[in-house]
Amino acid sequence: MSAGPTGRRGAVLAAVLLALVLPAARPGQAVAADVERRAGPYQLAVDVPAAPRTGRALPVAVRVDLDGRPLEGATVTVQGFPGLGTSASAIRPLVLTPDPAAPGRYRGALTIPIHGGWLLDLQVSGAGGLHRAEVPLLVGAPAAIPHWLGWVIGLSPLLAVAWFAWWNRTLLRREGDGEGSAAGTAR
Amino acid sequence: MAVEARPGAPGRKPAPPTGPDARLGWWRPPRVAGWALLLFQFQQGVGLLWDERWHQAVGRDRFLTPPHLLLYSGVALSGITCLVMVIWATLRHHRGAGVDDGNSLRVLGLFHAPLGFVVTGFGCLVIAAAAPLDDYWHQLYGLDVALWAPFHLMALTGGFLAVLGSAYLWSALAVRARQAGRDPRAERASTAFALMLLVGLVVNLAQPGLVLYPTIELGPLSVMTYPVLLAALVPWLLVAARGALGWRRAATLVALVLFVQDVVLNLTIPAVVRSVAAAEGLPFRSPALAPTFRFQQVLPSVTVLLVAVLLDLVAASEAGGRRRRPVVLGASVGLALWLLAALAGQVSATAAARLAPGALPPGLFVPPPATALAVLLALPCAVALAAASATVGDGLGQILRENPR
Repeated sequence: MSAGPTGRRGAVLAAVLLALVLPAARPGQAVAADVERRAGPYQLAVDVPAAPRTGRALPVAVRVDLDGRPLEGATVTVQGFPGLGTSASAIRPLVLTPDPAAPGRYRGALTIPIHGGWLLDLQVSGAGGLHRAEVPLLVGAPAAIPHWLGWVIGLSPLLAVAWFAWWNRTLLRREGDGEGSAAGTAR
Repeated sequence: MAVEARPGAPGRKPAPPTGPDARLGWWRPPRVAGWALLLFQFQQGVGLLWDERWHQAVGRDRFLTPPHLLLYSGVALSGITCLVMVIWATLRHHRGAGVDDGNSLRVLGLFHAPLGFVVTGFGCLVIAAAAPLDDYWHQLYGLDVALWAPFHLMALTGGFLAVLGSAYLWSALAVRARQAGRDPRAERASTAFALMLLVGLVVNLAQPGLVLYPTIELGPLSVMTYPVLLAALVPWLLVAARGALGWRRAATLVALVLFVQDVVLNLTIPAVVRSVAAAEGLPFRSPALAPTFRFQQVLPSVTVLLVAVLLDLVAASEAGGRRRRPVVLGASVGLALWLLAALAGQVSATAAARLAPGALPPGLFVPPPATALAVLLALPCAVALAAASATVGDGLGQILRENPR
């Protein structure tokens, strides 16, 4: 059985649409396996997406254990710091909220504004004191447009400015003509 | 944007204060809206300066930072004000209640509104379109993309159009007030305020030429950037202020208000940056970048003030009772601008070059100041551009003085 030209065109179109949609949907959704860290006496299991992307909410979940038991009532704060070579600044600290469904688990969502290497600084304050740990993260960029296209779009309002200047010029000319004819009439 | 120019408005003898226009006092809501626009645009100016200091000292951890909230709420309020006024004026036009071709423009064949609201509204749209694109550009290229990045320039062009619209609106209201036999002093003062905001905006636009891009490379030649930019961007607005306001010291007044605003904002904003950053738990990017008042920050407005005083003096010294030709006025101002701007550029670049190594975040560096030859080569460019700029300003002043729409 062979598909007609319309069927083939439909299949190609569907493939193109899938190719466009799938890469956009993938980043930021896969969750990495727990990253294990030690912060003083605390054992931390950190869940972060495997392929985070800029401008999207980055869910962060941390399970805190103390002496082998989930620690409840702790204050867990996470703050993002740009890694070397990442042109960005620190993100304001976020206090994670306890997960009612899982004792000792705290969660929240950050938004990383700029692509590149980042360090998540985790601060845990609880029965074992105040301690911190770091988790490195590589944040992906959105699809890039060429520099020249950025400039073309960015400078496009200058066309409106140029048109407005031209329009004003015609206004001035008409005014000049008006004055000329008025002077002629007066004479 | 298709705007139809109807014959009969600018330059013609103002109509007598009769008819529905005078009877119904239709200009009152535009006056209130015009003041609201000036307030929102001032708010945007404060937001812009705060944002620049915030960027330098703290960075940018999200799109809606506190200075962005101030800036973009001003844009949104301005845009909404313009939309409401365009709809209001269109409805009045359809009802035949005072809005006609003599005091408004037909836009896109559908709307009828004073030119100022149309231009300001379009400017707000441009800023709104630039905002997400700017955020995208930062995601790609980082925090330290300069003010001269594509979508920053797009937003600044929008801001420029928005404030220019305010100047058009207020100057038209001054013409209407004159036609109605009222004292147009309040309208002229508001026009002066809008022009002050415009001068502030273009001075801000030229700012990267002070330190980040001290020279323009023209083949084998290097030309100092800052005097050339100021000579192109400033004289036309000062000359237009003289033409539109008709006051002997109009340029000085506009530049003086700008200077006072600049000093007050530069004195207060560092404290605001410190307290808001502390409240948000955000550290400074580097101790050397902690916000403080520095004399170099007000050097541009001092330059503009001195140039404006000179402009008024030269214009006042009329040769044989005749008005000075704008090109002569511009050229003489260009000479002074070159001298003062070159001085300001060298002082700022030298101060920035004195920052200790490692004081700046990685990836940022300060280029050396312009050479003596580059400063000298900027002179003919500055004089020529200032002459052309003053000629444009003379035309704009004439339009603002006469246009009732």
